[in-house]
Amino acid sequence: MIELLNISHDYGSETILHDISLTIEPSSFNIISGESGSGKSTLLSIVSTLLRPTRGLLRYDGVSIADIPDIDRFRNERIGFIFQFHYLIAHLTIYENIAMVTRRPRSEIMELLTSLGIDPLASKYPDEVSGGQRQRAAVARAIINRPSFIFADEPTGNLDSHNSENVFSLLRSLDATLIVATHDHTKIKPSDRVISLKDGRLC
Amino acid sequence: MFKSFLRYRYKTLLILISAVSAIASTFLITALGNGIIEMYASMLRSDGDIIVTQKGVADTFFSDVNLSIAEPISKMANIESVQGIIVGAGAIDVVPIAGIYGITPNRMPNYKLLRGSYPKGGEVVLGESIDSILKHPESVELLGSKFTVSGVYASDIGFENGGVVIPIADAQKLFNKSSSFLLIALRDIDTDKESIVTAIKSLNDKIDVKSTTEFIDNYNQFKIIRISSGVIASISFFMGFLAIVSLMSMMVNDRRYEFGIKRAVGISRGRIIAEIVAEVLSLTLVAFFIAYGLSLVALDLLQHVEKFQGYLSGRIDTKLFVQLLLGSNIMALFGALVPSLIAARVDPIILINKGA
Repeated sequence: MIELLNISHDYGSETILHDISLTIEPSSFNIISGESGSGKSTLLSIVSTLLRPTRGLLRYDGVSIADIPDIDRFRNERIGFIFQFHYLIAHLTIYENIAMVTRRPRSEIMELLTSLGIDPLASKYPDEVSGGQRQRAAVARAIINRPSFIFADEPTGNLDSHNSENVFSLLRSLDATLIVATHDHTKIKPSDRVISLKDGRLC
Repeated sequence: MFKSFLRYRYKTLLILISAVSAIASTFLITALGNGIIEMYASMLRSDGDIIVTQKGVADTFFSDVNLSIAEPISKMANIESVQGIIVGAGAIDVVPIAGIYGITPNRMPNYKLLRGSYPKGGEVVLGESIDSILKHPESVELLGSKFTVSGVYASDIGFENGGVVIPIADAQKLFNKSSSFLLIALRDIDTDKESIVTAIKSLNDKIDVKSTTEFIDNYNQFKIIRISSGVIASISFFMGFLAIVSLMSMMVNDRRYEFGIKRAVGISRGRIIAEIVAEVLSLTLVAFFIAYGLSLVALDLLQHVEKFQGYLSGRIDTKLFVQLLLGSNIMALFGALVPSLIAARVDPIILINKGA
């Protein structure tokens, strides 16, 4: 379970998120929805531990993230993040981008790439494949360690509807808590909860 | 781990070239500065355990020691030889300035003849470099007086190779002095030098007598050269190391995006920093050894450039090698570690957004 208690975040003198408190249940599928600039990406970054909030408390299974001794390891083992722009490392192949985050055997990595339809691209570099293929590689990197929490920021923006559906089917099959930020939640169905944001406030 | 070098080969090549330039220029400036001192010191050390100069005159060029004291010195116990030398400089034919060494006959064998014979009165032997510059002349004009060339010699000391040697009697007329200094070689170098120094001092109250080692350590001209070369070398070290710090810092800053992604996917800060350290150290080591090789080649070429008359002579000794090896690597590490440690404290998403 993830708990947010009175989370606020400032960029300079501007407050982007105002006093957000919410609880995310285990194995639930949650959508953070809102217009561009509503603060959904910032909220997603905070919940996923990629950004420290200016104020407030974030707890995972009752433990404040400030008390987690090795946050990098926690992130590696328990969190998967799918970025809007994939963010693969350019000088590593698709396979190496995934292998660098895990100790799982090559066969398991290749099996995952096969399930995402990108196994023939394993030895290619990110700039040698299409945007959709890069995004599927980013999905593979996020889920290879079978995390308990998966965060995704506009994860299907570069995918056609067929591949989009495949990615969500795969994510749902993982029995992980899913939190997806999107500007149009009507394209993602069904979800357990839609968290709507407007001007940095829950609505 | 080193795939980033290959992937960004042009950027890596530029960093490597810049680091090589910084290290090589530091090597060259320091080696050449030290080389000037070493050349003159070697000349004094050859057959000189003790040196006699004029009292109160700081520069051997202006020193005037009466050569007549050479004879009583040579009769003292444990004295192997006493050599008189006049060190001067002047125009030699078309060469505007070169060293002119007037020496006593017993010093002549120090100059290895390549051809001809040692000079008698009115004759001169040319250093290999100046002979080549003057295109093997049969006679030369030294400070307005004509001398017949009797031979050509080679010397490992650049100053000597670019100069000429004449009998001391001729030099006395040219420079209007008896001798610049006397070099005294001892039979047994383990004897008490101090008692010999005292005995020589008692011969003449216008002379200063020191062991050659002590003289070299305290010679004002060397002090000036040493300080100047030290200052230039320090500036060169500083500039070179600053360049390395900046380059490595830029290299790491360029990769904040990658740093952010790696942290976002849970790779530990320690592992990321260790990878950067390994990359930076390997790049600096490669740059160092390339720079070292290039410096050796450049120093050898400079020594043989006719225009410089062999005066530009530098040697990279172990101390300089170790200083630069440690200095360049420590600075590279500093340049890489500071932005890495700063980046390690920044939230991953900020690194990604700023670097993207």
